[in-house]
Amino acid sequence: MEIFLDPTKCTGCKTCELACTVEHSASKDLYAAILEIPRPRKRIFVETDGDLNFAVECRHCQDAPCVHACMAGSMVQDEDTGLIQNHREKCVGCWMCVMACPYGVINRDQFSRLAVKCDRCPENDYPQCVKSCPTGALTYVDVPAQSKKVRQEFLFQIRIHKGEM
Amino acid sequence: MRHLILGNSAAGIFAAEAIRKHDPVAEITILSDEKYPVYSRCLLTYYLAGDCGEEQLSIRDADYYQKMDIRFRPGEKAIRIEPEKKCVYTLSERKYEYDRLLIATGAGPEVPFIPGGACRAVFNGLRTLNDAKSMLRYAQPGKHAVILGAGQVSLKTAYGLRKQGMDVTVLSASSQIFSQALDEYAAGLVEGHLTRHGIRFLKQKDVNEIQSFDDTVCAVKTSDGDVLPADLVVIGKGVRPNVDCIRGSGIHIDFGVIVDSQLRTNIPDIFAAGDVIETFDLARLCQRVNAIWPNATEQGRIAGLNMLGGKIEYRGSIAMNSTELFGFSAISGGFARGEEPEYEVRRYISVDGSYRRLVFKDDLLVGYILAGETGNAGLLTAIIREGKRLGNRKEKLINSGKIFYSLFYHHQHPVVS
Repeated sequence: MEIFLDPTKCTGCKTCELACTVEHSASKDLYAAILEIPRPRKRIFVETDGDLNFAVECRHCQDAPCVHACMAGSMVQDEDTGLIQNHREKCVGCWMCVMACPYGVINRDQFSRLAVKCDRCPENDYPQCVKSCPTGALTYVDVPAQSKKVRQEFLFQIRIHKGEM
Repeated sequence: MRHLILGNSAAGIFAAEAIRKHDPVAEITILSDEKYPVYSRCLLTYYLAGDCGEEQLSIRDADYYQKMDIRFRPGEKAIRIEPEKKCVYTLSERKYEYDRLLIATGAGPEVPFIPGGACRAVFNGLRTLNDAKSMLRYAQPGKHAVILGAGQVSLKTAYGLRKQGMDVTVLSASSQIFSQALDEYAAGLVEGHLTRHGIRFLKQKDVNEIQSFDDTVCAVKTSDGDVLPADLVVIGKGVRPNVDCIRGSGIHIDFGVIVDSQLRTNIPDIFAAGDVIETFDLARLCQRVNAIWPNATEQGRIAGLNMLGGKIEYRGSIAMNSTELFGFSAISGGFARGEEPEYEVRRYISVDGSYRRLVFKDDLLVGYILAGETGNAGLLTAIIREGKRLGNRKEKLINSGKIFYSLFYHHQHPVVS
């Protein structure tokens, strides 16, 4: 399963950021989370370039620059799930992964000196960003449905949308 | 097929893993001149500071070698390579034969001659776990540490010793600290932050003499005659590739080992990767040793695959640095200090005091420095590595510090996994 985003539907409302932060808080409650120390951090980032909004979180790359950059051996690709997970007991907060991630989706929890990133909500059976998205821009779909061809077509459409092709 | 790997750190381990992943039966032997299973050198300053324990230095599980079916030979320092016989001799006079050899011997501290420097309380950098352990014996609260040099490892060592409660002075020969990676402004931010945490800096000063007797140091005499009390001295004058065991083998060496784009040396079946090699610098457009962990792991993986007969091209490396000291983060990449007229430098200071410096050559990004807020460093690293012209996206990048570059234009490294 992969998280997909349709930028033409994304309004940049940041509901996903909020849901992500709450899911990764100790209390799992918005109002209590605000007062938590350390402050819970979001792992999805709503970016905009003026004409296009885009919620972006870890792509869980096959050949992941963060895993190769991690000098603490804490950023590891899980062999079973294929997901990249940061093991907090090993992470020292050197931010080598931040330096290497081409998508800029690793957040720095400076209080705990931990790199935090999308973990696909292991305590929940469904990614909370997708669940919370009010416009249906974020979807959680089976990988075969998004073959390489589909992905390329998807990027092509966005570039047309941006007037680059 | 017998694969022999000299070196048990980033490049060696990642090469071994690449080989094992694609060849379950290959014989893999790793020689290490140290006695420890693989650990992260880069974490030694964290260990020195007490931020992490010895067990956290290991980047792999305790049963790693067994599980991966790797013959690990600790305490075996390679001293001679004989390519005609396809074998390597070690200091203990053992002979190891190979079908494919990987030189991943890394880099060691540059050792300048300083009168009085031959003393146990004088350390040539912080490069091994043994260095860190013996340094900790001298790191008593209230005692004096003098660090000669103000590069990344020196500053991280200063941080570690300060956290141990020592009185730390850093001597910098140039007028700014951390001059390999940062410009004057960013270095000033780092220096100010460290000063607030009690580290003292003396700039444009070099060392003349270390006053020591037996195994204790009592003072460091600077070039302008000052005498600084010292119980521990760390010399941090950079690193150089460990090429001693390669000399005489016919392998081409300049500053580091010379390799082709598939990380082969000039001698058949001998590959090299990591801090020991020179690679093409994608930002500076010249050959250079960019001795950092992420480059070493990438080169290790590619060398490993090519040792299996792959033909994977290594495009090149860039210099990169990420440093966090007492909660202040600075990250730089590429040719971050580019100041010559052909470069265009765009600087930005945000309201929270964070600093951003972007270096362009026309519409190519060739370097960056972020200090304070460093969250989007990876986007900039990717843009430099890809080397694609930015066109009208350049102004967007200058104004916001980020663009949707990677999502639409980034293609992953050509390594198969």
